[in-house]
Amino acid sequence: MTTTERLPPLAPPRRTAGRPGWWQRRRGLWAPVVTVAVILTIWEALGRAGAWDPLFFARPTEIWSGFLHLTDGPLWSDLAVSGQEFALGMLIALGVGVPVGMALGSIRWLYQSFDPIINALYSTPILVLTPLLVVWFGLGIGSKIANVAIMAIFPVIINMIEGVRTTDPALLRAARSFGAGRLALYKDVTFPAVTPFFITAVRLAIGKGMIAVVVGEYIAATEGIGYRIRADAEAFNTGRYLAGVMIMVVISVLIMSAVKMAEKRLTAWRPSISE
Amino acid sequence: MGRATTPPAIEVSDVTFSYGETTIIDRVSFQVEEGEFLSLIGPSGCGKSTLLAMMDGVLEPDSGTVLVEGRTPNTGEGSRATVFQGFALMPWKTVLDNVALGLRYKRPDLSRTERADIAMEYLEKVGLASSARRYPRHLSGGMQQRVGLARAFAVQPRLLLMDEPFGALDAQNAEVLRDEVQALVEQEGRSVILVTHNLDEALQLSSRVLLMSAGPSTIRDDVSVELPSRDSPHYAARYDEYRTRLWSHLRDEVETTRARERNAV
Repeated sequence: MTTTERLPPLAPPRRTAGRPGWWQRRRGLWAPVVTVAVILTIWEALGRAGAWDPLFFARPTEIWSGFLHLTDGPLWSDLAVSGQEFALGMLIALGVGVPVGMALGSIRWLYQSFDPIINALYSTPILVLTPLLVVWFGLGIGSKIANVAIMAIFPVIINMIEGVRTTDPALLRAARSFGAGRLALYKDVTFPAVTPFFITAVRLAIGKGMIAVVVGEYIAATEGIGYRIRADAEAFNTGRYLAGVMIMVVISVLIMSAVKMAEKRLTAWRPSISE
Repeated sequence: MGRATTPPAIEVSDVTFSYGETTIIDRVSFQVEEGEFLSLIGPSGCGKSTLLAMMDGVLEPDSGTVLVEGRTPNTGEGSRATVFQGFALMPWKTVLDNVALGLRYKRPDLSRTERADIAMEYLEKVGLASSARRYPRHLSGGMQQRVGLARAFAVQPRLLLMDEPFGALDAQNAEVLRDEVQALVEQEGRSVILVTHNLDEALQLSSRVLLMSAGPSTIRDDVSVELPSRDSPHYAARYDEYRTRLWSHLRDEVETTRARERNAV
């Protein structure tokens, strides 16, 4: 006869921690703030303790006073000039780069003819042309606009080519099969398909454009944030110099956040990484 | 007094087609009458989908003619719609907009609201009305193909072209969808061309099966399928009869294709 051994009743499950508290839920918000605060505190303390020569590197409080000094002085007009150079240069890069990239992506012989040239130019450090652009367009904003346009246009062209060339032919075939004309094919298939590539292009172009503005002004200018950074560096005013650099960092972060928001809106149909 | 005759839904006459040096289709001819459900079956690479693309006006034959309702088909023109193996839904459009897409091109006379209403009606028919505002990525393969079917039926085509519509689905979803297609075709009364690898699928759905030989393909067999109702005691025997006949030919063609592939390696 077999007997069935009776198992002891299961112990009640151990009570796990309930709903995560405010601190846990908001960790994404406060953790970076705390991290930055700790870094700044250590940085300031080491500077005050004389860990380095103040001529070589400034403390956070010195950078802050440098920033306040800049806001009292030419900061806003410098930012207006740099912003104008950047915006116009980007406008040219996108205005020319998008149609050129789409044409190269769509027309096989154009692609075959120009692709090697575009790749060669993309991988060339075009900033070496800055002095030449100054000769062509002068010390004013013209040479900086050209600098931004030339630096930013190649990632735009390359991404647009890639976007058009990787558009799913099955979708084009389906749209054609249902009667889409050439214009409708662009509007309903090609443009939406290249949107993610366009966003990437804008992101890369912004990075390149920012470098182009600052380097252009750094080399030859009489105003603009790059010029101001150089002037403060040459005067060994490390606090103001680093304040200028920080301003550039903050502007970059703000622009990139705006692009990210636009991306979320324009490509809501794409699966997010968490899906 | 002479009676006006309506042209056949499809007339393929002496069609030859090559990809480069390789002849895929060799002087193929057949006709499909209005209301007929024809399955094209054959080994891989025999040119079934190529023939379908010609009927859709996407490809032109090297020689011979393909006429749809008596006319040379041009892409997008005419009363026909295609269901694709890979669904071909626009990922950036909602399910409703995908279904309405065909109507936008085929029925420009309709307003946006009218198109949406028709699209919704067909989404209801395929049981996906509640998913109208979702994107295709939120749907399973079976659901996506039902959207593809709704998109095709919504334009109310006289001719429905289906290119392995169940090929990308699992067996259960394919079975369910086959029944739905059959019901829709019966409701709407269309001429249908189905390209498939699946003999059972062809037999269950069609009124006629054309078996193509290994490339350069010709018509190896042309079978009119007349099956009694599934409840009939004669159904199984009759079904087996058709299946045995078609499979014996198809098997030869598949083996020929495999032998060629081995020699090519």
